Amino acid sequence: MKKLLLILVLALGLTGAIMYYSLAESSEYATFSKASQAPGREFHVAGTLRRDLEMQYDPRTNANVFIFYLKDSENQTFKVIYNGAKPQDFDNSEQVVVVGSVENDVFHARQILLKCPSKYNDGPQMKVAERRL
Amino acid sequence: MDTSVAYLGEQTFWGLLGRGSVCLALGCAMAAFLFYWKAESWPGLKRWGRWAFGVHVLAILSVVAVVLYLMLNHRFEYYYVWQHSNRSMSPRFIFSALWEGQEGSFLLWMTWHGVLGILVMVLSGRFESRIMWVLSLVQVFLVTMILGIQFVVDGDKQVILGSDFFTLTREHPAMRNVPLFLQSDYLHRLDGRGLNPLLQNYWMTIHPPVLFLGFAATVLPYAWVVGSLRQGDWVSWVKPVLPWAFGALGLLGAGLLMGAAWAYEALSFGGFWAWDPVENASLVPWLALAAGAHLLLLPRLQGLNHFLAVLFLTLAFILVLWSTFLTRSGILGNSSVHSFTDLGMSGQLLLYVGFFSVLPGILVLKRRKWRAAVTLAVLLMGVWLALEGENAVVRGIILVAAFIFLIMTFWSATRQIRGWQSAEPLLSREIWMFTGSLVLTLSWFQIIHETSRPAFGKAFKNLSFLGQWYPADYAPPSDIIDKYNYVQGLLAGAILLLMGVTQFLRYRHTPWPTFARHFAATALAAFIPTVLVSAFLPLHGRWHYLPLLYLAFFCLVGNGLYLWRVARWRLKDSAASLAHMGFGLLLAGAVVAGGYKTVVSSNPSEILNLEALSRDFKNTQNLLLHKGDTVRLHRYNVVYFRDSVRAPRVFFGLQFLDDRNRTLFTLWPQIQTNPRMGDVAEPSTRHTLWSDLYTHVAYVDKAKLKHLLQPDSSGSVGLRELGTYRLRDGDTVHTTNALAVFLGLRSKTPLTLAQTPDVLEIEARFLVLDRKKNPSLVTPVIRIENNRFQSFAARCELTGLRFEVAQILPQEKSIELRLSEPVLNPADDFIILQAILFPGINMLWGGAILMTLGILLAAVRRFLSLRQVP
Repeated sequence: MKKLLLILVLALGLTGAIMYYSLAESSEYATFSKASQAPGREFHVAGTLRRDLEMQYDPRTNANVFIFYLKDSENQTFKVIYNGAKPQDFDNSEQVVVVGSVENDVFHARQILLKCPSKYNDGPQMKVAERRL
Repeated sequence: MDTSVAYLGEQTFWGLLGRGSVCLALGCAMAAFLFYWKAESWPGLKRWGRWAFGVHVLAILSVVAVVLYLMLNHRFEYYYVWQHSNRSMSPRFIFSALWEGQEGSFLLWMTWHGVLGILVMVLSGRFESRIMWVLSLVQVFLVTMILGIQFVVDGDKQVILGSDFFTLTREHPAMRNVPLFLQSDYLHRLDGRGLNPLLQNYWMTIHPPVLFLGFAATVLPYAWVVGSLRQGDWVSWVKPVLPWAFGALGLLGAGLLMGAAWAYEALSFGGFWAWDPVENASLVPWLALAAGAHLLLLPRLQGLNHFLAVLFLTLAFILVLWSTFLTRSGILGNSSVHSFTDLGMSGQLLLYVGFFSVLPGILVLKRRKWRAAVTLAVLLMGVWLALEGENAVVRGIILVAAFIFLIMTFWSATRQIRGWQSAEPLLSREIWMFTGSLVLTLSWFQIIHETSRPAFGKAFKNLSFLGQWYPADYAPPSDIIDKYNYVQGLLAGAILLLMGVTQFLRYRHTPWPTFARHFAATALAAFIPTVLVSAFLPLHGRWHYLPLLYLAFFCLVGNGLYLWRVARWRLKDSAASLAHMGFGLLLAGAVVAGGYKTVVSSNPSEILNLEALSRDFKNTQNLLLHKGDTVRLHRYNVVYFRDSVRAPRVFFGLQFLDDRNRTLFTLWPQIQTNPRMGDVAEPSTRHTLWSDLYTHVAYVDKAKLKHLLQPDSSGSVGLRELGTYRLRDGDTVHTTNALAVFLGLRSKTPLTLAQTPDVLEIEARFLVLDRKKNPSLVTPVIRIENNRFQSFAARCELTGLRFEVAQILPQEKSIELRLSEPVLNPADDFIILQAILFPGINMLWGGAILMTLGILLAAVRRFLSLRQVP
């Protein structure tokens, strides 16, 4: 029984270590202004895609650079450079989460997460598909 | 909606039948619960319980039948049918469509519960009543999830109890103000939205039912334990529950590995596991169940081990419910790549989790008075939380109360379990099984803790130190995958080590020299496969995966040796060893394929461009391929040789050649186009015994897709002249995508005999049919003014063909037509390709199959041995 308890205490200690490891770095969603205060550090920024500004993706010169503009919750717009191919369904998405850091007033995204409102749940403005006669 | 419209062709009868069946299912589940609950003291009621549960299962099957009928017959007047299917959908995806939505997946879940309930009636003998009352109660809760009743509380607050399967499309809140539904014949013009393209895959037809069967099966150990706790019985069920616990473990494992296979075959994130909440949701209960089921194997279950076995078996089901809540309530919000649907039933789901978490805690208390008092307290707390949940103080008090409740439960359990004081020798299976189950617990604890952080953030809002640790607007750290891999890798190593040696330990005591000999033999032998495999791996910079690989092979070899030397390949004694070998092989495959996967589609010429942009841009993972290009990729020459269209799918043909330019194989990565849900890339993989070459199209220009699917005159599309044709009335010309019939000439200027007009306009009339035989009329014009001939070309909107009359030849009663068809601007005719090499992934699949078979064999064996010794 003593050995069992010893192992149990050890396990509890490890649980504590895991929780500490997990909780030590608790990130929250940031805004561009917060991200630009700590250049080089990684943040999650959620924002809306600015469709009125030009998206640049020219795979013929470089397939791994995609540039677009994102407006965060404080209505601040930042240029985002993503080092990868433009996601195929990017044009359909509205809410975009970018993961990366600010450098020289440009957000360098390492990862893009797309939220397509119509993909899994239904947005308020839904179109009824009408069959062609 | 205007009720005065008489709608034509609606079949409302089926909705009534479906709703009636749901109500019947609910009523019968309640009746079954009551009969079985009372049957403990009044055995005659068991028969009644069986009848009630039987009718309940029939009612559920009738709901399934109605929904399937509605889907097969395209009854789009029902919202669920409209939402998840359409006319063009292939009938083989009808089942995927059935369980695509939440209501459907709940239906699938309760159908399996029904089937398992029937099995329990037949096979569980004297334990039937105590299992069945719990199962019936679970069914009561599940059926309310599709009940669809709305209450109005306080005059304005709406409470929804379940989401209705049979809401009419025109009555659905999302369809308010859609003018189509004002027309009485709207049904003729309505087509469904169709199935999410990601789910149009054969894995989606078999993965969900198996996974849900696994989810459903976790209820059996739970019901067994909880039903026995009510009797104060801690002992008699321990052996009889074994086959059910291992059966659930095997099914859940099979379901979740099928999910991994689906992700690898059909999704384009490039891998088989991504620590996504949906994946974690099925892994966590599996780990908890594994921990509990292994403890049950101990020949003398006592003390702490006994307590933990009960705890883990109960937790497995509670964790299934908690995961259901996490993934279906929308609470994970932004923290996942998935957008989770919220049907407004979070409260109901939370109630469900809460109820079945508290139930075993109350039943552990032995005295009736205590049970009643605690039930009352829990109810009061629940009501308080529902009313004043926004207040941080209230939540704090309830949290403390929950903690006290836990301690009470533990204390009560220790009073009822025998053997808290007995001692265990170190070299016995008992102690190592105990340690192993704790390692498994650490593993699922870390996963569920990370996954639940957004939920905790909401629960602990404004609660001093807890609120600080769990921010309400939590974003997962950017290195979350590394975090999971790091912690889980260490824990997996520990588990593998234990699995490799425990087979050689006897229960109670093992002599030290015997053990040392086996250990040394295993440790040495495990080097052989490790060295062999790592010789084929790109080890550079990735040495740190090798210890885990070694431990995976240690587990494989250790159990293999046991199978050979001790069990001597007798099927009866080899279930555990087979399952453990499978687990070792599975992890070896996961380490090799996950740790040593290599992106081979890099484009060296682009590195300079990228680094000029930013220091981060070193990973060139994407390759540009123009049509007809030959590019070096890995050890192949790749030719992008053609496109192939099977609407809505577009395939891109890639020929892989060896150095002498002989074709080795062809891959067809595809894009499934879907204007509503976005285009989805589906990979194409070359499977070989040792390594897989996985390719997917990361990007295609919209103009190219449009050109392939419906060539027309828009965009950056160029034209190619097909030639000049001499045509008489009624002649036909075939082009690549269409055919054109010359109908004749017609004057646009009114002709009179009296005078020849100065200006003469003649139109040539062509009937164009595209590939789908859609007709369109094209009329290029000739203008003759003072003997000057002018020709105005016309474009066909449908096909993009360009018609120009070059000459009219009155003597031959014919015209000369210059015809051009649209071609893609060569500059747009490219794809962006990503190719990844996955070594050793077949070890993963092989291990998965071996493990599942091993676990199921264990379940069968335990079941048969129960039969033999009554």
